[in-house]
Amino acid sequence: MKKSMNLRSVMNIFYAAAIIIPLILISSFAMSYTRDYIVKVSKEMHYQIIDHLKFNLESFFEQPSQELNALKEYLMLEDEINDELVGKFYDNQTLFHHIRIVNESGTVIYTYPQEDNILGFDFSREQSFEGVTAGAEEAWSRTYVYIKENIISINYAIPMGDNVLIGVIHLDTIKEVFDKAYDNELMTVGITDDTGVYIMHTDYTKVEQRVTDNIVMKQKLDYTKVTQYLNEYYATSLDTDYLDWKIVLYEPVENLKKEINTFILYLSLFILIMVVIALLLGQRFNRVIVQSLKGLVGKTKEVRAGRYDIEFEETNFNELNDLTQNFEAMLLEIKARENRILEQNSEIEIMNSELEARVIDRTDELFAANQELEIALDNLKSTQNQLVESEKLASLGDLVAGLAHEINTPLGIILTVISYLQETTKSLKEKYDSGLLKKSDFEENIKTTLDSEKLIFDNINRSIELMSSFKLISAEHNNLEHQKINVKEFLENIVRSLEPQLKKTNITIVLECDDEVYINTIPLSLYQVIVNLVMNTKVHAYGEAGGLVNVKVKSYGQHLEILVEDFGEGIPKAYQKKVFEPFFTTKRGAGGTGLGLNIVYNTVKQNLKGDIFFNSTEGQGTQFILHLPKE
Amino acid sequence: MKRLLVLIIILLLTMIGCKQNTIKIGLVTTLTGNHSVTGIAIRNGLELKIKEVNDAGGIKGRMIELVIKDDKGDVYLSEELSRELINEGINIILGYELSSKLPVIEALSEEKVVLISPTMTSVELANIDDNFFRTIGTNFQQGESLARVANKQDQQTTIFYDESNQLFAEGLIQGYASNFNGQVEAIMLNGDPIEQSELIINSINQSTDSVLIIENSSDTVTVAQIIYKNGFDVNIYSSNWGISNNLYLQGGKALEGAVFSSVLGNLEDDNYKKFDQNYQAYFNTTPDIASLYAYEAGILTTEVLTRSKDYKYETILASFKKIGKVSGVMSELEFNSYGDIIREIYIVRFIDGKLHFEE
Repeated sequence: MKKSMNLRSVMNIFYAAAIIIPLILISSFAMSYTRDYIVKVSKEMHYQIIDHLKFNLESFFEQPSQELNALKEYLMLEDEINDELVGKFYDNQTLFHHIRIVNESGTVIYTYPQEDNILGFDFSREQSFEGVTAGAEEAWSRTYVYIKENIISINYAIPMGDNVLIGVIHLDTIKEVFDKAYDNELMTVGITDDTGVYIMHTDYTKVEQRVTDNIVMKQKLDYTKVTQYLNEYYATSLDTDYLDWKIVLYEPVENLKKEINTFILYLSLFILIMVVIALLLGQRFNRVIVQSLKGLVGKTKEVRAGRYDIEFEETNFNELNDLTQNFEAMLLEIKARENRILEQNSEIEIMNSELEARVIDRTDELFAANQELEIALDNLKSTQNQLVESEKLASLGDLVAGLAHEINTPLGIILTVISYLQETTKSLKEKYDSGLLKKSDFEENIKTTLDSEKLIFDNINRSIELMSSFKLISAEHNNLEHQKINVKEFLENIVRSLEPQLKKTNITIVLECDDEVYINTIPLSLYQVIVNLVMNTKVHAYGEAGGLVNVKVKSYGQHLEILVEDFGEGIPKAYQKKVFEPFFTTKRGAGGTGLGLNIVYNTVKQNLKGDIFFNSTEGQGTQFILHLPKE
Repeated sequence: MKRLLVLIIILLLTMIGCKQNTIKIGLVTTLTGNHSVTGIAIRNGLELKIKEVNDAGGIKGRMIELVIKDDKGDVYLSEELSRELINEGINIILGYELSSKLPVIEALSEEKVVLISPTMTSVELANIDDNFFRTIGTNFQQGESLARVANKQDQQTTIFYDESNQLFAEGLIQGYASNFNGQVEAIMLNGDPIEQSELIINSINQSTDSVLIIENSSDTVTVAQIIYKNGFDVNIYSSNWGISNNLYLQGGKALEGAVFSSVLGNLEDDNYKKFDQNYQAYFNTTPDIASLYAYEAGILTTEVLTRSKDYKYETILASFKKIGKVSGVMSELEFNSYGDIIREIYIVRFIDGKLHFEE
């Protein structure tokens, strides 16, 4: 039985699925696309920021050269260092923290603003000085901490005659440039010098604390995922064209995840709201549908109770209205049909009564007919028995006829010989009486008499044998009691008794049986079986042409197997199932009664308590096999 | 449904577990200001060691996280930051690079925290059963070593020392004075040496044949420049505090021949070269001597953490005290039962822009 479900629940599930599934699909696509989009936007922002910084930084690097060279030109025009000139220059610029002039041996000979205390200091190992004295047109030092003010500084030097003009730049001057170029609290940006130490950073303490960024020194970063201080970042770097400084930007992976998660959260909220709305709307819709259906269910209950005068309310839905209308129509139809059924019922009742009467009459007729049939059946059975007996008698009659014919022959021969002897003896007597008898005549008469004696003797023996056989069989015919018989002798007697008929039919019986095989059986019954089987070969197997019939006997413990085999026409397959049926024959026109094998079958089964089988192949012959108990 | 819930809870707990899977150690040192050179060098040396340990899989699978605080050279801030770290559950703090931070060590002596300094040499902290450990010899020993060199050639030494690190200076002066056969005069400098040029110049007279500068690296260079500028022909001595890469960049000829006391031995040592190589690969610059001290302090710390069965304060403290010997960069680091290191002081001389080890 099909499991039924609650319509409301199913519809709710359906509504939810109809919303959720598409939303999930859309969301999955959106999330995937959004993630890629967010990453792309982030990456572009990285490039934008560091490109902008690089541009600004390059401007920064070009400035010192212009300014210091301008100062140099002014100073070179004077024989001595013009303090006022330098002062004017200094006041009109914001880049250099102070200016130094170092002589060729590295000793500081001038500073502006004036710092008398460092005048005379040895700067011979200062990087920018070394660069210029090595022949460079300009040289930068490495960044260092200007201890006095704890500011990261860098020196820029150009040759000025025998001396070196050095400008000391505090890198906080580029902080403004840095801050302008970058305005994103979520990311950290830094500029590293050639050793990877930050000279600028969104977190300026990293600059003050001379923190080294060893990630940017090892590889080019192109929105690369890196781990720094056990946290994950997307990092992008760019080499500047100056002093191997690098710009590097770090964005915490968490930021992107947060953004994506925020999007997912909003999307999930949206999905949730949509689902809730769908469910609420669905519920409302459900209620209407289910109520209408329940209404209809109620109406069907009334119909079931037999009330047809029901009023239907119109709904807002065409389909439900159709259903209601059809239900009304159905109701009317049901009512009409019910009436028709009732009418038909009464007709049927009337017909029923008539039918009953007819049935009774017919039954009586059938009963009478049945009685007649039973009588007829009894008659048929009796007739069948008579026929069987007739058949048996007929077979006996055949046997007697055959025997009579057979005895007739030797008797005939005896009569003929005696007649001849009478003639010859009369002749001899005439010759003796006349005195004309010769020795030769007497010798010839003796020979003739001796020959005639033999013929008479043989034929009398033959007659005696036939009579003995007949006696044996007829005695056995009349006896239905069991007897122990020697099978070989019994069968030989049968063969002898059948000789006349067999000669006529050209049937030759070949008997194969051991001498000492005995069976305790009803001889008459066995005789009938064997004779029927053998004579059948004449009718059905060989016809007028005749042939060989083998009768083979084998002993198997307590059973005997007698095989009667011919090599004649065989039984067609279509008839094989019917051969043992009474009155079945293929030679009805040729005198066959169809009872022979039926008698054989019944005799074997009932009288001999055995079994009979056969094998037959059309055109090759038939074997009848009898299995008989010895006791 | 229940199984799904349990699985989610397990996953969440695992994630939480992962998050807590670092061992935090603190660093409180001066990263900005006048004495930042040493602090920065210490930070770098420690970072290098920690990176090496983390790259090798951490300690028993747990990464080390270094929490860095800049005390800007302020003792009070140093203590405040240290207490912040203790409150965060950190029970090992390194730093305290100058003897001027001694009050911080004393203030935290009762706290459940192990304090380690790679560079503080104050003799006052020696042979005390406390929670303070260091990987550097005492200032007294440094003074002794320098005096032995000065004895070979000098008769009168003027000592200039930084008032802001008086404790360090005092121990060193004692060590020097107790071993120097000649006369000693100590002059305290307060602030920027350039502004005290006159005092410096006036403190050196014709009898002075040697100057011992007990200042940070930058100020050591400044004092040396003043001496050089004024043409004084004196032998210059300084402590390990004065050693940094700045010597070459800013010292010029002023420091040529200067003698420093150092815990570093022969810088041609293969192990040192390897450390130097690794440092340069990581920081793209040669290491300051304080970086090596800090690196060795990192060796000590990570070795203790490796040997400890847990990371509770009592366990760690006990491990520190019975650490015995640890393989340092160039030699074995041997600690007595108080956790004080037993190590030699070496003499290095600044020649032609480089520090050379003296036998």
